[in-house]
Amino acid sequence: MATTPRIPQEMLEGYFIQMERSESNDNPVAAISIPIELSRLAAIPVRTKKSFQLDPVLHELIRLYNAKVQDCQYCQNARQAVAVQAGLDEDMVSALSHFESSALPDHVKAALRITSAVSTNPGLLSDEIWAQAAQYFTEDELVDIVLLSMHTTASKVTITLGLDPGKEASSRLFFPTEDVYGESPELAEAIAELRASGVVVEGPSEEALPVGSTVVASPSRV
Amino acid sequence: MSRVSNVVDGPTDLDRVWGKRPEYYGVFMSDYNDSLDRADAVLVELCRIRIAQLVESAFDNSLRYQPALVAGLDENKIAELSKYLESELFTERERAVLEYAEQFVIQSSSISDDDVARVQAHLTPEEFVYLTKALGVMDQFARTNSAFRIEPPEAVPPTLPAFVLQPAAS
Repeated sequence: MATTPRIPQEMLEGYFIQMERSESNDNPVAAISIPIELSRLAAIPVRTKKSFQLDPVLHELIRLYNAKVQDCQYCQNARQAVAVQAGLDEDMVSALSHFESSALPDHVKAALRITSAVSTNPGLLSDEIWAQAAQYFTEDELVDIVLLSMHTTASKVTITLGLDPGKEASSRLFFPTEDVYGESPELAEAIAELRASGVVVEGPSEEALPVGSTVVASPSRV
Repeated sequence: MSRVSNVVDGPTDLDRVWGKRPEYYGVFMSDYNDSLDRADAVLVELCRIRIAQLVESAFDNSLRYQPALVAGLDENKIAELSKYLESELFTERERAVLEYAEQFVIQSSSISDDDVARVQAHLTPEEFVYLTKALGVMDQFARTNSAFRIEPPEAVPPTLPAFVLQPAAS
């Protein structure tokens, strides 16, 4: 794994894993980042009507599984606030490294088998694995599981270029209201729905997630 | 055909499966095409087909990148791709890039500084950056098409305007 940037300093000015593509943003490194619109459509960090439609805990477990496989330090240390409030805890995250023998629910294991195949050798995604997962998920959800499994391999470019922002940059919770995720009508609607259901959708970006701890969801935090 | 049965309308299987998430499909393909366009066409195509072989994507293997064909890449060379280290048809630059591409596909986090230095000896910093980005999207696309078991199309999908079908074996 790269510990220092492998591209000239002048090329990494302003780089971030996800960046906005627009006519007003002429930063050349935006061209090699993940388009932020893709991350929004992949439901990171909140589900909208246009994005992938997966349970937030399963979504986050798939993302974190691939973060580990790809060895993305930044990705591994971030947590989606919505997923934490929906029940994601650190025991579940720890179980990802040995998910087959873990106490994770069967439907999560079935999804992770798909993710594992997509991110390592998709030729291993057998009819049996697909059929097992189909016992728990609709076909639309299976498509989303494949696409999310693919989407979360995008960190390979950042890691290979030596531009992983590192643990320190992401040992925190991602909230749907953070500026990076934009202000589209779909997001605003999704955020309003979450807020109405008692979910905390905003917080200080620097809010730390203590290592090994579980953040307990609490409507009283609203 | 693909392994996804409940698909949407579209001209090819690629469109019918990926089109289940039309907004994501649109943004992804835009980034894909732009990313390939920034890198050396022949290197892109050699890597793209090698990736298709490694992740077993019959769909990606059945297309050809027109800018690479215009630049002189032919089927004889593509047929030698699986033995690029020994074949005389490949330059040292192409061999270094293909080795790098294989590492990227198999386990990108294991690429060492020495590995990077080997490929960077043949590329400018800009070429290295844009090639790596192109590898990223080609790897993602082929993995997904393999996972969905999308078969070779009868016509080029409209979202891949720079591609043509692989010529039939003579």
